[in-house]
Amino acid sequence: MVLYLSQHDNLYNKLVEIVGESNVSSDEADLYCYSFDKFSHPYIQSELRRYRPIAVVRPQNTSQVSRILAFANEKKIPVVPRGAGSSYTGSVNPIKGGIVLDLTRMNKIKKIDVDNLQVVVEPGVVKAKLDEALRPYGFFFPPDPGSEEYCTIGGMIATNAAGMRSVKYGVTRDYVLSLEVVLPNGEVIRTGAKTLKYSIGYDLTRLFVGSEGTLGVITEATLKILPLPEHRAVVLALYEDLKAATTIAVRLIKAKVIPSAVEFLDKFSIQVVNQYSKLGIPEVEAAVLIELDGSVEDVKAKLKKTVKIVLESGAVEVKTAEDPAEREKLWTARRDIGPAFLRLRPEIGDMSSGEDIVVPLSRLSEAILRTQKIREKYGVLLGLVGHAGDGNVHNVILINPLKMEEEFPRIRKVWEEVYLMALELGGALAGEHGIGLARKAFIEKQHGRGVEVMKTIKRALDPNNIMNPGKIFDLD
Amino acid sequence: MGEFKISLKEFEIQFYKCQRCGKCRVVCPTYEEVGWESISARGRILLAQAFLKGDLPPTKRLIDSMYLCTTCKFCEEVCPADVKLIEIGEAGRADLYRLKKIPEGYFKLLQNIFTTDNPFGFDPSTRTEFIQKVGLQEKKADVLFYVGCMASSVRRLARVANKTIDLLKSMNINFTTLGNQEVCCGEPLLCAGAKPEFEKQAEKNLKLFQKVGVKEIITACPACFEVFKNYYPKIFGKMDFNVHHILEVLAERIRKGSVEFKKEVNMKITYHDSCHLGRRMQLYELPREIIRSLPGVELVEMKLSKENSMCCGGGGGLNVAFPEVAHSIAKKRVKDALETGVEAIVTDCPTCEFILSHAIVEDKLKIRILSLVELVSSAEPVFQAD
Repeated sequence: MVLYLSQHDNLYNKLVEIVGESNVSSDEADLYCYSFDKFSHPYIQSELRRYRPIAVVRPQNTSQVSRILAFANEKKIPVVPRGAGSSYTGSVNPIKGGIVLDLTRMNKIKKIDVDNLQVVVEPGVVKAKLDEALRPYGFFFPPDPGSEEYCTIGGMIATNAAGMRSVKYGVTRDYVLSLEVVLPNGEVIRTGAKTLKYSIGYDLTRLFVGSEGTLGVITEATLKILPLPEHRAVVLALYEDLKAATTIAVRLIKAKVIPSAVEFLDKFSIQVVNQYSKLGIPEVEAAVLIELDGSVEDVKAKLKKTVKIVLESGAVEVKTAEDPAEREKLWTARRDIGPAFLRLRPEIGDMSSGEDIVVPLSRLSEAILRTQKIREKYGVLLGLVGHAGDGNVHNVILINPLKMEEEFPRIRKVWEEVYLMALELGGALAGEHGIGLARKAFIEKQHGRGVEVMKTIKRALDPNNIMNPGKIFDLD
Repeated sequence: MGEFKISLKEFEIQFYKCQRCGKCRVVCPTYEEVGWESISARGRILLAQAFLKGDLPPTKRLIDSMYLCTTCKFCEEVCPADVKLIEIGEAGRADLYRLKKIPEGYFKLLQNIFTTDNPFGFDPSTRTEFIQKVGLQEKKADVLFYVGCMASSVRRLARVANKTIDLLKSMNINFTTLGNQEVCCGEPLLCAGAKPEFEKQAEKNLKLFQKVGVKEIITACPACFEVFKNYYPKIFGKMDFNVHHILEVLAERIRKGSVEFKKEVNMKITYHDSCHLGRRMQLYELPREIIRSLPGVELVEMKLSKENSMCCGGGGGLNVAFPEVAHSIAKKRVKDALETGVEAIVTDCPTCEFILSHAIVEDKLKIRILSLVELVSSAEPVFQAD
């Protein structure tokens, strides 16, 4: 059901009463802008172009969010919370209309409490800004999604985001100590405790992590922080043997070297990044970038060990760097993947789709080989890059927007086969991007009856199904 | 004459290139002020495409989206997909202008240029009121010093023109100005989206240049400089004169070692890159090279400088239709400068100087602003003959 503002004459006035006129919009242009994310292109997934919110609201504090939700619940109006809108899954698309809650004005870092190893932030704080504020204290917030320069903490929590350094530092979930959440009826609760550990019954904090705005609105988060490592080193290892490349993380860990990142690129990705960045990396089956961090002595010792292990594992070439500029140079191969793919065919103006499956580490090479076979079967431009330290693979697929009708059905088939393969290998549909709309059709294959439990929780907390309806699963 | 295409339909493919990642939002000065998705490059791309396809009418916010932009190009600098964000914005403005759907403030600006050939609407006869007369005026000369409307109309900015004239004289350059006959370069018309009128203005200028028989134009305004250099050739193709910013001329002399500075300046400064000279013309090192050559000048960079410099707030004509937003951006930029602990902001652009000085004066801040030509002059340069 799509609602229109005219059907809720008093809605606009009510929202203005709560947040003030300059923070409500029902201008068609605003409604349009708040209808899409990184996944959803209005003229590619044209079915998504139909959906618009009836209003966009920009609250500034918990009390305003609470009043908006209480009102929306009473009127049964859907509410879609949104941070930077940089999700990969359509999780912020207002597919049932309603109100989009732009939380970017709630961007205060409320407290930096180094003595208790924690910070208190509002959901709209940009991740990179948090790190900037923590740097003078010598601390950082470890989860590091590729979008860290612009994504918000609220969005990171709502999707349990992560990045390259998960192999050592884990994911967002591991750093959320306590949340303030506005429930769909407007009630405000606090989950967990502001302590580094607790054993106090159901872990509601973890319930909200990864809930993609379907259970309530996160209005404050207490997060664990860690000291910045003193030193880093980077190792670039080139492999002809995919199995050796994808198991290097485990080899290192078994040898008691815990790398802070292990990233890999397949041959096609190396070719693409070479073309863009003129790096001249030999076009082998896989390039692996290993990052080590810690104290200076620790890194130096680990570096020596790593080089030895990498060579023993069958790498055909190894390069190392400790100097920041040299490290950056090696790291370019991974960092430039996005721009390199997007600029591969400038005359076409490709859009890209990034998949996010994760498999057990021992099945990673199989996942890559099978994805490469799927690539050949459908003849798509697909590069495999990802986090070899935790089994998370991103397929970067280029889509020619001018041949959408021909290409998109094929790409949907690729997605489907990749998802099913991940599940078959004992993996998961998504490592760090979430479900949203993109993977909703496969959620039951992932969880089986578990989805029914999720629905029971959803109905209990949100009986009117106002919170981001139609995401993760359909209730009816 | 070349065909200068400026319409959204030229950007069909570009619209798909944008992945809507939002990297552009975090660097955008107007988004930071206004906070609505529509007032960011990402939002603008979505709106421009839907508007082009006829799926969205030109609502107030859609119009604001195209115009509430300083055209500072920071978004393009960080865009992973290399989307032509600034050109799309310009094209959006041009398409809206055709429908006469432009923000209120621009009507007055356009009227001023149409009737007086300058954006402020002052009588053309007063163009040289504060500016020293150049002997060769209106005669034929190889070199033309093009003063620009800012330095001709704002009393305190006349110093930029006068110091430039002094420098050109002491370099023994045989030059002229157009005096009261000078007309606006057309940059504000581009900002308004008034493409046909911009072309007419460019033709008017070209005729004046031809009348003087100019082989080289030197200007102290980076906006005029960029328009002559980047936009005029889009209309006229290759032009039979060269265009230089005065800083290029100065830097060349410094590189050749044909200048000696007589006076120690003793000043700690920071340098504000204008978007025109910086991101648009990629001249980051050149002004710094000049600064480094001045005896007693210590340069302290702001946290955002060069490629990552922040706009003063006056770019893209923002000050015309959205003065509060422009003013607020200016205050932030001055704050950046204050953090360096210097006594003066030095810039290459009269508009930046104008906008930033307002922010300084209003809050009675303890920092000065001056143009780089003034700073160079204060070091009393003596140029050797070529």
